[in-house]
Amino acid sequence: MRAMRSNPKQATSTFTQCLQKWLAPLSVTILTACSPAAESDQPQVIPEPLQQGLVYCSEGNPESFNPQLGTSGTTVDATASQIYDRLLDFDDQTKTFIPALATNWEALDRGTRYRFNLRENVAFHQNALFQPSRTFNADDVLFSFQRWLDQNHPYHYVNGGQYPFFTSSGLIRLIERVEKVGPHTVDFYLKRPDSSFLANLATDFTVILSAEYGEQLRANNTMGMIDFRPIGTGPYEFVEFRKDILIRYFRHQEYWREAPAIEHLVYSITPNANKRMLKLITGECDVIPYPLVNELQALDVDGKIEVASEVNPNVAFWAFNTAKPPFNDPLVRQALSHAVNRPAIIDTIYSGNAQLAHSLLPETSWAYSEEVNRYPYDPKQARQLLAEAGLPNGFTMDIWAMPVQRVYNPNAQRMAELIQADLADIGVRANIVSYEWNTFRRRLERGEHQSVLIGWVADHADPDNFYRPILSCAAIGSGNRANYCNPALDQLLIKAISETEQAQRRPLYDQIQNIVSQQVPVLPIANSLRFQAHQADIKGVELPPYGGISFRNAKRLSPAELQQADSDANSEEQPQ
Amino acid sequence: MQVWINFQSNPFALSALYCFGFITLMMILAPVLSPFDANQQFSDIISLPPSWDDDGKMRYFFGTDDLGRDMLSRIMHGARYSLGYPILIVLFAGIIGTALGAGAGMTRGLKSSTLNHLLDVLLSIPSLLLALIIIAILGPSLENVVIALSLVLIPQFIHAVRNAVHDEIYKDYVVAAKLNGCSTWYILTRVILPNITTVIVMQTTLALSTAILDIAALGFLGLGVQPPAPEWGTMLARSLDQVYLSPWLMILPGLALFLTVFSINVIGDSLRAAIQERIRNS
Amino acid sequence: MIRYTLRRLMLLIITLWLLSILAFSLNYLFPGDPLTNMTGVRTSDPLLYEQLQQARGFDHSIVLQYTNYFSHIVSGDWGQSLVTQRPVFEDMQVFFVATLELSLLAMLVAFLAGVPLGVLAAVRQRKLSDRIIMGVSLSSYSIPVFWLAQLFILLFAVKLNWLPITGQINPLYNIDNRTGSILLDIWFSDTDYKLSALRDAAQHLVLPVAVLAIMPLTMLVRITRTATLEVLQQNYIRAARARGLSEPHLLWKHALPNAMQPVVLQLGLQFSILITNTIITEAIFNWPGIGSWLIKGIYERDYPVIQGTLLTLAGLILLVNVLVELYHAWRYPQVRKELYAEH
Repeated sequence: MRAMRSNPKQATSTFTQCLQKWLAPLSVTILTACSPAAESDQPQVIPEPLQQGLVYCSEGNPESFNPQLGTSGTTVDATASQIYDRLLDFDDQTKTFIPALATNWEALDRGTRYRFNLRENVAFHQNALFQPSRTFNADDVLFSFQRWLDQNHPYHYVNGGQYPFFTSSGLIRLIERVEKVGPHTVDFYLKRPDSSFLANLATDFTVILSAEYGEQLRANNTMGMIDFRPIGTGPYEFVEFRKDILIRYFRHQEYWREAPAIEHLVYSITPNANKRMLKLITGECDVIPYPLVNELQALDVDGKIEVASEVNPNVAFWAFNTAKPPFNDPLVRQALSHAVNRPAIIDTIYSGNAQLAHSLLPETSWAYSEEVNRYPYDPKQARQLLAEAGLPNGFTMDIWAMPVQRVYNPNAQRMAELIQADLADIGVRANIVSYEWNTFRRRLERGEHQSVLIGWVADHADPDNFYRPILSCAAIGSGNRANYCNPALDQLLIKAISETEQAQRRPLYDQIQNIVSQQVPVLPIANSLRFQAHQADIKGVELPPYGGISFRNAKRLSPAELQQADSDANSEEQPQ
Repeated sequence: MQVWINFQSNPFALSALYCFGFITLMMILAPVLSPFDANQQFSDIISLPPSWDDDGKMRYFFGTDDLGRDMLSRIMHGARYSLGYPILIVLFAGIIGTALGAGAGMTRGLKSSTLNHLLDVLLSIPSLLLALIIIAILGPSLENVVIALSLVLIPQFIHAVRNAVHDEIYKDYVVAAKLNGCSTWYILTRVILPNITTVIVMQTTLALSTAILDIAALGFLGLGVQPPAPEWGTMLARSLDQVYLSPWLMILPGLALFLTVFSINVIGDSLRAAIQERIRNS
Repeated sequence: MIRYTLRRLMLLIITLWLLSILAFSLNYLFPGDPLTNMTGVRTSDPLLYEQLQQARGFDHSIVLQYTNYFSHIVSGDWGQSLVTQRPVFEDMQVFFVATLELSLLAMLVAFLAGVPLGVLAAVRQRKLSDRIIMGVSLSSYSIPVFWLAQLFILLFAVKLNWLPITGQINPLYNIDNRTGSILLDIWFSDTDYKLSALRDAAQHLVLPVAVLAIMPLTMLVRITRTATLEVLQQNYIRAARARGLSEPHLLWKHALPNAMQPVVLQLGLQFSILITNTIITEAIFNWPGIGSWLIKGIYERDYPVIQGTLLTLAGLILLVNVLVELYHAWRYPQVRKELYAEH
């Protein structure tokens, strides 16, 4: 026995090292994990950094930290409501505009000039590069708007020089100039009256940057930093970004509204929908976007997880690249539209949590009209149309399917498989193409696709927002995935936006709707509900219908508060 | 023959062989036997559990997936991608690799040693890593996966065969044949090759399980066979979103993969044991 | 021994050099512009691009381009990522340590569990425990690692809720990412919650390490068993047994050291299998290491990153193989002669 002990000394010493290194924590883990009762009895077991922090498992990397530069929902979710503020906000409950960085505003000169009075004593964030010496004033508004309005602005071409929202919404051509009237007063001069102007200013893209930060970066010759080490006035300060891993924010202590209750906000980047759901169940995520709703409902989660849903102004569609044959022929597009069994898509891909869309406009819009071509599922008709178009034997085509979930489409790749099978019935052979999301968007912008399954989430409620960003000539390269340019349609769209009375606009939109449903540059598929799932003790995460997620009013209830809330309100729904 | 007798006396080896034979048969007869086409969608029967479940139906023996495709048919057709293509790849790589390896084994000196070092570099890179790099060059598709894995497996055959030939070439019986004035070609094909058959067979089973696992791993990562082809790895990756409501979608392709690789590994292992037995007995 | 060491090191240098040629040729094989693939500078930045074209000798012969490339690689300029525009070599260091942490821990677990189990199986040859150990080891050798990882996640993280699923640590612990190894980072950080952070990090390690350790573990069990069986049949063991030495003493003192010889030799091969599995495992568990970076790089067509990860992973495997061989030769001098004889 003595000999046996003497020899394996080396082995035992490494073994104890190993024990210390990771078996010990493991055993601790198992001990604590196996006694959940002990944990719930002693809430103080939760280490302090985790108590007032919130983990949001986002679906991807933002392209930058400035929503002016793109239209990607991921970027908007990560930046717009967290880092920045706008001049005014849109309140969905009352359907009115409410003051934000501007305290009030008025329309002058018959709607061609708007005057904004700005809020005083609004503090900017600070970071290692920048300590603000002053609070928010008119210079910051000028800086933020001139950047994308004025091609001679020093920052115009920094980080790409593309401002897709402002191009496709027409804002860039609508605003003639912005003028500083006083230290806290600015005037916007418009080329013509526009009924969607204020709505556009309230979107997530029209954020206010810091002019002082811009100057300092310019002096240091590090101008590119402005979109990657962002400074804003919003409720959270940007701390760090590690690609594919996380974005870290701290609470902005001097926020001009009430500072948020969450001290520490982390976006844990989890592109995989299935993993996001599992991490919500294990408690690694507090809030997740785009949950697999069916799965979650089937799970027995003991009221620990809540799923919130709401109507969202979005539409999923199949866009045909009308710049490429044979998709330049409306007959072919109509044939393909008849070939797809869309009700089956609603059942399988959306599990019934969506409505079949017959038009780009959702049925809730005041401009919606029943009188449209509905393209029922009819393979026979489709084959006939193909024959008329001179393609009786079908053809081969690509369907591009997004690699990520969006609110309008929970699984584009699965959808593409369904469509692929439908098309095979009419002799069209389809290949499914997919790239990493940012690459995918870049290639779409270059128009490399033949057809793509994508969609649109409206930035504001005006019907214009469902047409101009998707089908106007100016939107080619940004929202116009069909590369569709029809001057007649463009004219109608401008005419419709220049009118201010609904009664006059309505017939114009009927006309527009008819042209679009005749031409089908895009085949509308579904209007989907927007879902979000979170731990039951998280309250106040806001999903405004016309914008990204907001954590300004989020908070974590203590177990006592949670019980209180539960007993209080069985009838009361949790706030959206 | 001796090897076969030894092999036969091992019940595990035999059952593995039958299992492998069964899977291969299924694969070959899939177009005839499978109840449906692999991509036929029954949109009214979505996510049906397998037949042994209370809600299952005999008509869809393994159930259906989230698009209403019959799982049994998909798994049977999928064997063509997950087993059929690996077999083709291994045959192709085996023939080329053996020829090159035998040639290299017969030569000596600088040429041979350079080749050896080059092979060291290639072999030190794991096959999956190399396949990933080739996919990065060519782009993900079935043809490119076949090309990538063939290229990856050839060096392994060269290495194994070269070393085996090298080991034999100094043995007395080869020297004797040489002294008899036999040509190099004769020595290689008639004298050495029969004696290294077992090495080649072993290398083949090893390469086959590597090829199957790599093709599945590439499919799982979305870099291999593209959907809707019912390749098992791709099916497994695509099923993860449904893992709660329909766990069979994930378990069945994984099980199919496991059984295939397991039977190949048991066959390879038993072959090795049988060969060792013969050596010990002789 | 010195001669042998020098010889092996020479070989290592030659193979690394061959590897650099392979990596260099990839720049021309990848789709797109070779210079962009090499440096990560796009043609959309014409000023810098032209500068680089001259600096990298792109107006000269391919040989000059290669020597230029080689000197850049050696001096740590591996180009910049096409996606993040960050230098690849700098990022690589962090990812490398994270991968090393995972794979070394897995190797350690495999070694510490595999060898004793193998010896146990050998001692109890043809008994029930031997059959069980061998059966389990052969079947777990055949499980696709991505399937195993998913099954583990479902069982241990979701059903039992013992362990977290992805990442290195709960992101609310604000730990500076300095070395890449999460345990070291916590250790050197000045957080007030070192202990709970360490515990959290350890929990995150359990699943990926367990998934990774399984395959080398099963191989080590099998090799150790075979090797121990062979040693136990040899005459010197029989003689020792005849002298009346106790079985445990015999095993530990006489049999095991010799039985370890083939086991040690296998460690190199096992390491390269481990790296294969690391690539998949990291991708599944979102572990911020080289493997998941490589997969991301392929998705994003980030060629400088793909090239850098290839160089690092292959270089690491080559190095480990040589180190194992050197240790083997030093520990078991008898094999050195065979090696000389071969060359």
